[in-house]
Amino acid sequence: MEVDAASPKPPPETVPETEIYFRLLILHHLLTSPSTYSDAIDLANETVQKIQSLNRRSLDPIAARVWFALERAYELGGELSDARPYAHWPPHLS
Amino acid sequence: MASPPFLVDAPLFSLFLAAQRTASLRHDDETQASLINRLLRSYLHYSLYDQADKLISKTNFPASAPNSQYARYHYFLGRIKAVQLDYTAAHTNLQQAIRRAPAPKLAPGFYQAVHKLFVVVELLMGDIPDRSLFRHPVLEKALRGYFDIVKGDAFSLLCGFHSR
Repeated sequence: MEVDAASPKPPPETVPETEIYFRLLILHHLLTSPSTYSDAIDLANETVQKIQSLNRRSLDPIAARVWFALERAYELGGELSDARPYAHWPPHLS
Repeated sequence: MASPPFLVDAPLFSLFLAAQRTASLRHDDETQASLINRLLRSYLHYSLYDQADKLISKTNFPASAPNSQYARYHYFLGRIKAVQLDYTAAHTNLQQAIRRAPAPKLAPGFYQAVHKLFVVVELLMGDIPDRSLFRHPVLEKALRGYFDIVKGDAFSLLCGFHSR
């Protein structure tokens, strides 16, 4: 009987939720020590941009927590006035 | 008191506001609730009470938000009302915050922060806070100073003055 060579299984597709979840975990880890606060701010900004570009409803619950981490990162690591500008500038409530 | 212009225009506020509006359009209740709370927390961090008040009047806090978000929302409302001297409303909101809060052992920091404000509001209303609060294991140390005020003879005299 011939033995078929095991065909390499295609790697399982990663779901974006997993990547965002890992980012969230790392974010919270970075928020535990003052030396990494600025890294936390960068990662948080990047993650928010990613979430907004992916625009998936299944990411909504995680997005809620990423917003929390973003705000916390700015609170701990920098002044709100230092925040980097984003592509869209909607008018704020006046 | 006018708020410094650079804080009002801070890009982070714009980002939060835009995302909050998007979440509201998509009926993403949890994200919307989280963002309203993020905005309130940021505003209160810089004592921007007028901005916070405007946000509350212009947004609907989603009814299906989880308790954790409600607890925060009621706490922020309590703080704003207290600063606006509306102690009755502050008291009601803080009671809601306590009701919706996670178990004291799990989140002692929040429980203590809400109760500190709660006790202060009750004192400002001329009421004597329930003494059992001060014996609560999680609250005992945090409320120590307030208990000293409540115990004092001068305070009971003051309360008598209020009720006349």
